Amino acid sequence: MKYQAAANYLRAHRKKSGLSQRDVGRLLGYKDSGPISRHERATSTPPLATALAYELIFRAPVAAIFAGTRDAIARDVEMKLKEMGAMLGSRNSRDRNANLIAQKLSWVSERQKARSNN
Amino acid sequence: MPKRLLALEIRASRLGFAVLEGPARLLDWGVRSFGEQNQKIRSAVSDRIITLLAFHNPSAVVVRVRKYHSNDNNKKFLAIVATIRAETKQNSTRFFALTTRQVRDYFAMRGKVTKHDIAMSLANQFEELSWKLPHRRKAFQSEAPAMLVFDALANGVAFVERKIPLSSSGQQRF
Repeated sequence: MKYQAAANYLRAHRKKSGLSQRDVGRLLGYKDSGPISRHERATSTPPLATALAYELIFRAPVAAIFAGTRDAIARDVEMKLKEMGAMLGSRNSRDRNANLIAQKLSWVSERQKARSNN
Repeated sequence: MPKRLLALEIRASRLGFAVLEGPARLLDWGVRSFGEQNQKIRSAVSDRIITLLAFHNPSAVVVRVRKYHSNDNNKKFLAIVATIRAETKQNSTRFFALTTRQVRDYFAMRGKVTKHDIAMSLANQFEELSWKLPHRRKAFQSEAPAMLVFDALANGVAFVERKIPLSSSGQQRF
């Protein structure tokens, strides 16, 4: 999956702390500030371990730090879930895995209900 | 998505900026220099502004316009403002100009009259900037570069909390 460059709040958190990109790079085990700059500009996405390290350094949830990326992923997942629901709904009721399909369908619809309630 | 504002404060060879998301969230701040050579000033300002617009993607840019006593300085200032305006237009970002009076009046209503008072109140409002607050300067001292950031932020705050009529890009010529 490829996402468009999304807004993140890495720079805001870093500047708030007074740390330089090099300081953050050192905390994360990088040799220079290059990767931090790329993460801030959203030209590259940090690996999970680095994202979690950002959470620990800035004491803010990953989803809040990478809010733009999270929103883009959320949109994508919701769209795919809708497609999955439509695909499952179109399956024949006399299918060999009818029970499994029914279970998946009920999970999808429950999830959508819970989401609309939120 | 909350709206982002890029507030700028222009001097002869550098500009201060502050990026606000809504009235209370300060995302970025800093100073960019562009040299004093008149021939290269447009391209240098243009480079700095393009970088800022690309990084923060603001929905509006606000600049404080002022009048210099010297004709040369006025020309240079207007050239810088025109360059900024052209780049914001290219980026489909709205451009607003505030006057010094509008910014001063906004803070004067809150009892902040001097630059240092304004900077102090902004440092209280945005705690992340408090460590950058310069000492109150003596008459014989030159202004600290960090003051540019506070001036830019003052423009941004006066714009966001505006109760004052503003000139938008279409209404004012530069």
